[in-house]
Amino acid sequence: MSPATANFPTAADIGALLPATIVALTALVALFFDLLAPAATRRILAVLVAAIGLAGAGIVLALHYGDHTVAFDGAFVQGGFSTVFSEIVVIATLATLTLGLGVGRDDQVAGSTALLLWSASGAMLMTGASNLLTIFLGIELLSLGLYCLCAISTRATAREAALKYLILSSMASGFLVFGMALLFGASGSVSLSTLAVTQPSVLFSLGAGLFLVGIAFKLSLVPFHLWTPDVYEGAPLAVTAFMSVVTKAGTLAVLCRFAYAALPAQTATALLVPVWTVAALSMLVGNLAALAQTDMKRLLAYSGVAQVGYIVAAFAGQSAAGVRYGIFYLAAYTFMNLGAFAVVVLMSRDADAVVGVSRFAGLAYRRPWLAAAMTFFLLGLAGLPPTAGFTGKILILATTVGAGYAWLGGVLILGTAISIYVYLKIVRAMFVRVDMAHVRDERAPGALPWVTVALCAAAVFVLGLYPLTPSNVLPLLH
Amino acid sequence: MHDYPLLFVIWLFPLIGALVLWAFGPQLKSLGGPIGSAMVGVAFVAALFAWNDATTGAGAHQALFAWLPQFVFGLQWDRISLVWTLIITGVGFLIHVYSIGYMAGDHAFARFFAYLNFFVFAMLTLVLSDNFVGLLVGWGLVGLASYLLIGFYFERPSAVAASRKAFVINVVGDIGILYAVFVIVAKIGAIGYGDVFANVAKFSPGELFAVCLGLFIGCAAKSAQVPLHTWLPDAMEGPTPVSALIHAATMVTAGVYLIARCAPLWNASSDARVLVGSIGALTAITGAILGCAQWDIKRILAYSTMSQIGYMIMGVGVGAFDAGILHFLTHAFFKAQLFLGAGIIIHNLADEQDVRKMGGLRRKMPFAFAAMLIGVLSICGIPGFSGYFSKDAVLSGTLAHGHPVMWAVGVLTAGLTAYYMFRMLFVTFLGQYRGHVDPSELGLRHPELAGTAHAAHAADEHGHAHAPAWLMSGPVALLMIPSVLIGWLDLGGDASPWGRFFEPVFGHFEPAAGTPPESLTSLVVLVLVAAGLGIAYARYGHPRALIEAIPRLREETVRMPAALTNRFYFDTAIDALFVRTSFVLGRVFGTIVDPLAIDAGVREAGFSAQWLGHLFRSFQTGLVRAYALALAFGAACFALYYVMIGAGR
Amino acid sequence: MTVTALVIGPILLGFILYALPKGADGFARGTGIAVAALAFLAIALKPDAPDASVPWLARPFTAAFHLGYGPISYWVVLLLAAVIFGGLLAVRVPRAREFTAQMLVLQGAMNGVFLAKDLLLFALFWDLMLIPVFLLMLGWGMPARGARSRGTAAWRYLIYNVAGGLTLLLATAAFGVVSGSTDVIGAAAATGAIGEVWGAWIFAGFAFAFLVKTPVWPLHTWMPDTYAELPPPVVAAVSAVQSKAGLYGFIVIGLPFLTTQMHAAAPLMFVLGLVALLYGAFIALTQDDAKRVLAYSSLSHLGLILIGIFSFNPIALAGAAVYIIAHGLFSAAGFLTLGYVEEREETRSLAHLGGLAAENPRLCGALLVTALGALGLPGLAGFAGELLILTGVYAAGFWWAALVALVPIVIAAGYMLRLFQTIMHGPKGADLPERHDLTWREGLALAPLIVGLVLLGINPHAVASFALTQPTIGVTGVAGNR
Repeated sequence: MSPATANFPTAADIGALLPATIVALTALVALFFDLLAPAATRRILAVLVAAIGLAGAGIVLALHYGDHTVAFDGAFVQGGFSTVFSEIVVIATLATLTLGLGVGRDDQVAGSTALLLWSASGAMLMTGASNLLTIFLGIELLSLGLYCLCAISTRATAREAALKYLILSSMASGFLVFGMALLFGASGSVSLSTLAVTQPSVLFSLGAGLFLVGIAFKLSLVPFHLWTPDVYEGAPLAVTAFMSVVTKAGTLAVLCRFAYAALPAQTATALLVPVWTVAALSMLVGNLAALAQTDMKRLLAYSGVAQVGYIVAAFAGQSAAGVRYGIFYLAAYTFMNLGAFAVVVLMSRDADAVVGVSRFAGLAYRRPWLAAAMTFFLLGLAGLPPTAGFTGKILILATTVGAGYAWLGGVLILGTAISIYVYLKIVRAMFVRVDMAHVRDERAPGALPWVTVALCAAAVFVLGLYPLTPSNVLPLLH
Repeated sequence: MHDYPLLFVIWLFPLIGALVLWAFGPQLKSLGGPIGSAMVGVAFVAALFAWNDATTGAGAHQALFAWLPQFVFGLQWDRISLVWTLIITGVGFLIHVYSIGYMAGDHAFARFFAYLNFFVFAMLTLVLSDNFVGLLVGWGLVGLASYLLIGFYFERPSAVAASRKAFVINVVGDIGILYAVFVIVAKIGAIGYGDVFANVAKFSPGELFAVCLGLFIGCAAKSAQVPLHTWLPDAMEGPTPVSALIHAATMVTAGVYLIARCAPLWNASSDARVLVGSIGALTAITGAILGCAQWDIKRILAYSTMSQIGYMIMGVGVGAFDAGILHFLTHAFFKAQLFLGAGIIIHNLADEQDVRKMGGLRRKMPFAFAAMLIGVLSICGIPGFSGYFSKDAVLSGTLAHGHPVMWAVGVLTAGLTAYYMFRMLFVTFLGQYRGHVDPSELGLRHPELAGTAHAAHAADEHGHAHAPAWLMSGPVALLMIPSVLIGWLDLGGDASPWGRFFEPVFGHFEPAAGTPPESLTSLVVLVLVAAGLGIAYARYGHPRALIEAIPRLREETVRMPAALTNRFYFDTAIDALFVRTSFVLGRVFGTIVDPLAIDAGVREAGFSAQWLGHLFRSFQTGLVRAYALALAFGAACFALYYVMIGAGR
Repeated sequence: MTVTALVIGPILLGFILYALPKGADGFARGTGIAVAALAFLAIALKPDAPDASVPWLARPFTAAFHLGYGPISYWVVLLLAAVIFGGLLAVRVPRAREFTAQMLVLQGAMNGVFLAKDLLLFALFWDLMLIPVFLLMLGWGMPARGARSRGTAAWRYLIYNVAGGLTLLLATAAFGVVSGSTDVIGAAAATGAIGEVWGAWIFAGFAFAFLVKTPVWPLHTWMPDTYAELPPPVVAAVSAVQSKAGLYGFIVIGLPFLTTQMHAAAPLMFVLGLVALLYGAFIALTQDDAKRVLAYSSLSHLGLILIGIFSFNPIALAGAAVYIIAHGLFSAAGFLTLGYVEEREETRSLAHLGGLAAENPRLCGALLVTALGALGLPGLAGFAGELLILTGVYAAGFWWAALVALVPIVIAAGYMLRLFQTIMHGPKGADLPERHDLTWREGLALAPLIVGLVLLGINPHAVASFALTQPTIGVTGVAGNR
């Protein structure tokens, strides 16, 4: 269609962007209330507003579920799997807010919440982004918020981590942009749909490669993962949880769209080989490195590296089922991971606390329910029943093997085998009888994380029993 | 074939007795003996009632159940099972009664009778079942019973060791029979005697021999044939009635039963006949020689048992089945009688078993003397006593089936038997009582002196609450009658009642041409027996010998050849070859292979994973430039690949 | 309905017990015992309970929550109910509430493994049943004096079995993709539609998992420590039932669906099985820890079942089924009895034990029966199994294997009597406390197992007969025509 006919923005365009917009605007509302609210209620108020906004966005998404609108002349697609990704983002953000009841000191909460929401809206933008510009927009919107959020903590390491993140991330963005430029040069268009029909050339493939480098960095796939543990460690718990889920959800959506819809059929397979390779590397290296970790956040960082590897593996061979199972596992991972983080939060006095693995020693005899919950989430992450992790893994295995990537399936199993050590090391620590004398037991101030734990556990269990695989739940790809 | 429930009475009553005594023994106290005896008595009477059904036609049959189409179980009642059943229950009953007296006051009185009843049940299972697996079950259960009774005094280490030895060696026998069963099922597809014997032709000669060999390994273990005999002497650790019932009269003759039962197989395989016959002969002579070197009265009897079973196996082995069975029959009586007689002596001497410390008991215990005397006369084959007929039948049978060498060995054995049995008799009963003599004067510091060692223990095992004497003497008296007369059944060769009784089973046999007349051969036997008796008399019985008995015994004790005191090194060899080797292997596997070879690999895998983990962790320098470098490096690799891909187009 | 309850019921109750207040030990224990007893009755009284099936996956392959009795699994779950009943009834443990909870979860999970008619469900429960054992070993493990620390054995158990579980998972996924459905176990018309290409890999995945679980030499090194450290009720359940999962898998998955691969692997399996037979037997002769003797004897006995399965002969298969149950009976009874001994004498080192028979005749009797069952005394279940297996093996043409497999029977007599006599006979060991004889609870716990041992030994027809109607037994037909 020619630009002339389009008179932006049409109602359809607005409707398509509505959820993301709601989230973004909620941030403003939160800031506004913060000015009026008495000091005592600032924290609760900010979080409450944010929660309401997010809930609203979630509802809107749900209502629009299944319909399919191409907005802004193909810059943004609403519907299709983007809806599901966006839902995951919303839910994850909501959960994040409950973890620490906002981030930072009381006078920071409103600001941090706003940043959180803007990042979330960025991620939601990414989920629907179907041309290079929107993608870049989304990524940067997401990252900008995170730079600040990482630095919000008072610890020196936080600042350092934030700086690291800023530098490296912008470096990656550089690759990303360069790649986009090359792609534009090769195809003369920024819309993914046109990329798919361009004649393959060195320019094009190099562009795709550099683009994927940027994506791989955001997904912290090996070897672009090195920043992850440091940043996760430095950032406040809630932020870490947020990053470990939302960033990945958004970026995966982009990768998925790119891999499925933006590559010329004849070269797609060859072009994506490096992606599967780094995915395989991530599964192995991520788990191996996690073996040696003693700090809970670092450990989860590495486990996240590996987990994303699993999800990417689902896309191998670009089978329609792959998207579904990838999304399914992402959902499972979201709940398992957030659940684990919630437990960690419950074990630490404040959001900045450093939680070492040693703190779990004999937990089962001091706080059986917490230990039980943690065990459940860890089992899920390890891919053991009766959790969504188990079901998700077998589904991914099935598709990967079915798509002819048996070797990837093998690596997945190997990685999982290693990850068993990683996760069950903690389970063992919790259940071995030790003298509790020298173990200091911290408790979180609020009981709110308990809600998160309960909800996540329920979700992980139910998803495990009834994986939402039939296409009536997960839409086919558009 | 219609069912025959009466067999259940014969078969299961002893089992019921065993269970009742085992469950309520402590409450029943001294009632245990009578109850146990009654159960066996009932079985005996029932067997007598069933006599005719066994001898008419092919006998009776009772179907039980089937595991699988190939494995059909049932009970069989024919002439062979009849003979054994009568001995088991009849002699068994007498020995039960005897035991009431012998075991009186033992703290585990009821348990003893429970075991005894259980043995009778097991033995009946063995002889009544109509198939090889049923036989094997009985075979194993009698082994268990014997194990339990040998180890009856389980506080006594020697008894424990002996019982384990007996059990393990018997298992060796069991697996022999197992293998035979494999071949049979694979070839015939059934385990019933009838089906198997009807299809003997289906076996290739090799398979047939394999079956016979397997079965015979079972016999050898159970019936103490060389080289699997070493458990029998040790088995004398059990109470004397046990030795009489299990290790003389019944269980140890199970081998004879099996071969007689499998006559069709043996008739079909000449190799098997030669093998079994010669092993039997070898056992007979070995037992006899070793019997000459024993001082423990029960061990003397044990070796004589071994030697006599050698005769039976030789007989049935070469094909003279009815002769072998006859010898089993007579032996059951006179050997039981000998043991029970010895039991009376041991009982009254507070468990003294060493004949050197006896002597002159003829006046002390005239009844025991009479019993032993008759037994000895019978076992030595003095004409007129039952042993004479049966042994003669076996020997002439061997000759008639054309095995002169075995015959010669048998005859030699007869002579030796006369020697060592009378040696025992004279040393025990004649001369002066040596119970008070200082052991050193008798040379008793010799390492090889089983029996006396534990006499002290045993004394306190059952304090002497003396039961009425008739309980012990009565059964012995009753046993005297058959052990004198039973042999007369065989008077007249094939025309004899015995020959006619078994003709339907084993058919009629025409001796090979040129076989010397029986009268001549038995004359030779008699000469040798007389010689043996004479030597024994000269050395131990003659008045002059009796005067210097003590120094003579001392000298003999000290001068005993090592080969004899070590029982021809059978135990040593078995121990070194099998037992020790197994333990060494076990230690090597358990302490070297398992932890160091197999497990090591796994541990290495674990370590290397950890090590890799630390390696990757070490990349975490925390330096931005390092990370940037890695990022750039990765990007470079990507770029390279994609340029190549693009160029490839 | 019944079958679903058998799986879900114990697990749910387990969690409920976990939720009870701390003090409720006695109540929890009572509940556990009642549940096990109920399960036993439910199985015994309703052997023809219908299958329960709920659709699960539609793609990439169809799968269902499909539970139901099979010819072997019926007896296995019956056995398991008896074992759990005995274990909970007899043995006193600290923190009985958590313990009972874990045991119930374990029972439910193991029921799931054997009742699953869907391969994916099978794999799910397969992994699930590891967790309670792992936690039980961490929380209640009883390492022998001077043994490695508690964590180690549990860890080793987990690593080995999870590794197996993962290959099982991969194989299951591949199986589903290839055959289109995993709802196949015990299906009347066995598809067998696993192509040559995938077949080898899929079989390899299954085989590894099964061999580790059984365990078969040389993948067995997790087992002795585990069996030695687990508290008696748990080790009874593990050795009696969990160790059979692999063999069961070979029968219900390998034989029908991977027939060709099974035949291809037979020589290897025969070698492994025979090695395990001898190796385990020899080691069992020399162990000092009573529980390790039984552990190694299990290694030996399960090797026998393996060669039975891989001889593809109906009689041998029947024998395998019989022996699976038989071994369950006597090993469970054995471990429980040794538990009683250890509870009384506070040691399980044969060097210290001795002469208990004098004061504890009933205990002595119990140990004797189990020992006799284990050494294959004719008339007890173990013998029936051995006889059928080896007859089948011989009939299938492996006469040499049958011959070799006879040797361990003699050795078994050696080590079992050594175990029994060292503990019970001889003079009473020094510095051993005087303790009461078997209590009625302990006796009642053993009773079902021992009765089963005898009944199954007299006539195993009920367990064995299914093998004759096994469609895909393989090349060799019934005995006789080879």
